[in-house]
Amino acid sequence: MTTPDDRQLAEFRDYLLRYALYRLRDEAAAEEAVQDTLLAAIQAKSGFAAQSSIKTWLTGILKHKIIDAQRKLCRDPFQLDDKLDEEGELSDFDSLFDKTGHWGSDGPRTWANPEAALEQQDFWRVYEECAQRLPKRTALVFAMRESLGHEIEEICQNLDITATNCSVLLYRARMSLRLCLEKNWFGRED
Amino acid sequence: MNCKEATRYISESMDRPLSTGERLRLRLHMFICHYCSDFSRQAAFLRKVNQQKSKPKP
Repeated sequence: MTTPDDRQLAEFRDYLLRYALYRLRDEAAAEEAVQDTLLAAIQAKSGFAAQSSIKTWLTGILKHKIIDAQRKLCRDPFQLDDKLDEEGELSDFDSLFDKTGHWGSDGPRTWANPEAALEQQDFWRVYEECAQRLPKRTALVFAMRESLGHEIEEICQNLDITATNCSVLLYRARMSLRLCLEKNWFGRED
Repeated sequence: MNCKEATRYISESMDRPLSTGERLRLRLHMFICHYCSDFSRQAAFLRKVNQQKSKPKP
């Protein structure tokens, strides 16, 4: 049985960074989580079971570091750029609806063949730009739900927010991303 | 149910099971509202985008 050497561990740095960045949506926090992971891995090489790949092992450590980082991010007062109202009332999107609460002239259009977009690199670039525009906490909760597949209870517990807060943030993310993709990708005239 | 409420329920239905009453009212609304039907498909598409995006890359 061989244990990985430090050089081998470092080879996975880029992969781990992409992995963390996608989940945390914050470069500094992702860097830190990866550094902590590599440090923990170097200190605990004996914990590596050769039957799992180095990558799987590192990713396992990173997952724990990411949860710590998510908590930290969510509690950082400087990250609280998105306001949360306990009642869950949302006025941000009122302009999209008319007085009776129905879609105005700018209602969703039917997207032609969205599946095909997944094959196009340009689409992913546009999606990334749209995702970058989300407030940090909204982006974090959305990534936890949709990328990591966490249940709401888990997210609430990890981030110490209420289920209502959580559902408001998810709604906001879906509304914003949908609108952004429609404006910048699916609504294009070409 | 208006569209603003329907979009909230559509979003929530992706995260928790709706009650029977909520589900029925939402279905009735979507039956007559093509905007909200599109919204629902697009929210599901966003989930697909994220699932595909988070697949481990080599």
